[in-house]
Amino acid sequence: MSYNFDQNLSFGDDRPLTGLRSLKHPFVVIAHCAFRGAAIVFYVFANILSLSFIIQFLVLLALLSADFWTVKNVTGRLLVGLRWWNFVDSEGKNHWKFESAKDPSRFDIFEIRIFWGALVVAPVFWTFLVIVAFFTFKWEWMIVALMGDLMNLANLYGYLRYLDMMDEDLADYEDHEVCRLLGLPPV
Amino acid sequence: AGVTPPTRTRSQNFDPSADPDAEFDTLDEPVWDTIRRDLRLVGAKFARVLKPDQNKQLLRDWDLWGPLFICVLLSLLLQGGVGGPHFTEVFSITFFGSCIVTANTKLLGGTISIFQSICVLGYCLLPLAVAAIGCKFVAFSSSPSIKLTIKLVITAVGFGWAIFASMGFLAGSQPEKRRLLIIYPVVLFYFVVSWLTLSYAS
Repeated sequence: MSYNFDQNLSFGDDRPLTGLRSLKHPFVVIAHCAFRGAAIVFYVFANILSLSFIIQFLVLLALLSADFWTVKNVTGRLLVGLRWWNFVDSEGKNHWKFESAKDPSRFDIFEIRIFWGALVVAPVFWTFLVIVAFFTFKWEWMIVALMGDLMNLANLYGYLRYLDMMDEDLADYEDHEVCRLLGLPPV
Repeated sequence: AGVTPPTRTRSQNFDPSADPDAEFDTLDEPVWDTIRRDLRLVGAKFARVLKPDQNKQLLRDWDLWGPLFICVLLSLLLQGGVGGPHFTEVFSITFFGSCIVTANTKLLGGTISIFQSICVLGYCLLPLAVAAIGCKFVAFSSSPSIKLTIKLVITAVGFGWAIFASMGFLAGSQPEKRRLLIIYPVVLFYFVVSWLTLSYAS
């Protein structure tokens, strides 16, 4: 499959092969992972810093909101060329609309994998934290963890709906295109 | 004049819900355009609550940033007093209260989507948040009965404004026979928040 040779055939592209600088959009990748990572880390270690609950809540809310907006509006389209929209028509029905790049091969395979990886791993982590909070009877923290879970899941759901929509037009997509979009090895 | 081909629409004026079937391409827009567009939409909704008009278009671009901000603001203003509610209590009442009123509207057959309804109910809390700020400043005046009267007036105005603004948004999306059943929980919701504002914003 041709994509196997993509990295080696980039003439004039003298990025190092590993590390942060090997990515085409290092800042975008950092933005994609940093907010959700920081939210999880802050939640887990919040009790070590003796801040009041309100401040912790507000910090987490700010981080989660920043993450949601960034992943929906910026990192999706810059890393994988996808964007989801949801709006309501005059009858009150929900509409989903998607934009996708006409030329998916211009996206770096590592960035695609990091994108989907962070998108999936964060909600899994948050779900685990919700369960922990539930079983330790910390209701206020459970609500906070639930909020983190929902906000991260919302983005995952939006992007997955694109794949669902793609499913219907699968005849238009080659197998290797679908695999590349997801960062999977080609079938 | 006429129809602009969608791909040439300037990104910051782009309004996705104006024509849901149009093809659009915002994938390569600069990040600043994205930020500006979202800020513009949120600002427009705040303005719409403060000055209700007949424009239904704004309603369709729902977003939850405004409601989130307003709920947090209200929770910060109303918490902390002696015997008063905690931050999470006010936040739960405002946020989950909106969700429950929305559920009621949907179950009674309203033609408004869940997120739109939460969005509207959240944005229309703005007058009450303003009233809460107003009540905080009244605390610096002298006699208790004057204080109470002023706070009562401020809160009543906020309450009325919130109802008026939300009716403006919600009108036309409810089935005729059940209007009262749908309106009552909305009024009750704003009444409860107004009561909290009157009691604890000081």
